[in-house]
Amino acid sequence: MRYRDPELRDRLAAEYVLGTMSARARARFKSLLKYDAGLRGVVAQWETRLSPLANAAPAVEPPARLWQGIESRIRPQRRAPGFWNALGFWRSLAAAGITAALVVAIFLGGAPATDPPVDMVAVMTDKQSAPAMMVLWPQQKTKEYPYLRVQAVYPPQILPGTSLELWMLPTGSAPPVSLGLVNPAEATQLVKMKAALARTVGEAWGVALSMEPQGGSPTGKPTTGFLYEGQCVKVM
Amino acid sequence: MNRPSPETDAQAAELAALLAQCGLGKQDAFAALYRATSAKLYGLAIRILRREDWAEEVLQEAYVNIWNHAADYAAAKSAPLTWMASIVRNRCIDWLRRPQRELGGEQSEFTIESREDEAPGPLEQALAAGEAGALARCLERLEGDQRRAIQLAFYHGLTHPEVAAKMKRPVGTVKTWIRRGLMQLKGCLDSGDHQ
Repeated sequence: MRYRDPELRDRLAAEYVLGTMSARARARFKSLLKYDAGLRGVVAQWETRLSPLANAAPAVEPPARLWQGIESRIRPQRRAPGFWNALGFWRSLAAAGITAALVVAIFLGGAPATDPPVDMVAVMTDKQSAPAMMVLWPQQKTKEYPYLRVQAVYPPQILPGTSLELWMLPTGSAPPVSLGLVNPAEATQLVKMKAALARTVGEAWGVALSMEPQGGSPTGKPTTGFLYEGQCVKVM
Repeated sequence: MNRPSPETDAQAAELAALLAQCGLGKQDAFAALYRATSAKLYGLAIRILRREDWAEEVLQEAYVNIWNHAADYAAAKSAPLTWMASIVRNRCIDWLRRPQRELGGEQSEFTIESREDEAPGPLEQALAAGEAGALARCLERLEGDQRRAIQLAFYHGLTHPEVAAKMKRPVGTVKTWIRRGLMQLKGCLDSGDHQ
């Protein structure tokens, strides 16, 4: 097999670390890395070799808001991890869709005030109507960094060279609007939104997830059918 | 002057301990880790992305990622700052490769800022200060074009065709420079032939 050639592995690792690969080649290499600990080791060696270059970049003090942004994103995850990660809890919501969303909405409505207040929630279900992924809209108005929280109930299967893309389904006949890519490897993640999008997302009828070419749909529209789909429920 | 790399063993041990604490969900340790590393990593992101707003966005993602994966650091085979800087660099490169950028909408910045490269780069400065150590000495031994191509790629997050466009040379030539340059660097570093 081609990727067993040590010289080729070394060269690819070096170019990955240097950063010269195209988006497509990077994505392919990353999917190799996922399953190849040896290759990860070769990459780590190159990272170490080239690390003085990274260290040589002059230090610049970041603005204080950067830490505030980071802190606001790690705090919600820390709280009550048992609640978010309890698969059993989600499985038990098998009476899917709107009912599940309502249950979650009520649940969150009563959550302690340390969690950012949630405006809207949608539980996306798979083709068998089992809850698969949940999307939460924290209150956006005062947020410097508008984001969605995406919580996978079970991780979707993903083919190498593809990405998962999250879509907002507007009311009426308007086409879906991309909300960004979802990382299949992370059970809980925050999807950053553009400010303009954050203002309109409150009007969404629902959300959906599709499998797209690596890096997202090239056309700006979903290129395949939806894997998951769910209706939005206002919490307020 | 022959100083060790800026990340001394004591610093590395301290950062590794903080990462271990982060892996256990200790937010105080994460705050300390941020204080100890953010200026360095923000500087790196600015150097690559050349826009403060992008650097902020990428650094925020990177630190959230570091927090989420701190427990994995134990299995990493590199120094803590190397591990963290790699997360930042990878995020920067992914950012530069995001689809809307590859379509060409933002290309113009390269030309706007290209003059900056005529000034001594950070590596030259670090080299003058004796900080970059073995790597700098090995880089010195490369041909000028090889070295310049590697530094352009590293500090600008450029692809082969982008480096070629900047150096006004054919892609194939630049690819060869980079490939041979990297392999020579490896030989030089691994043999300890740089003293």
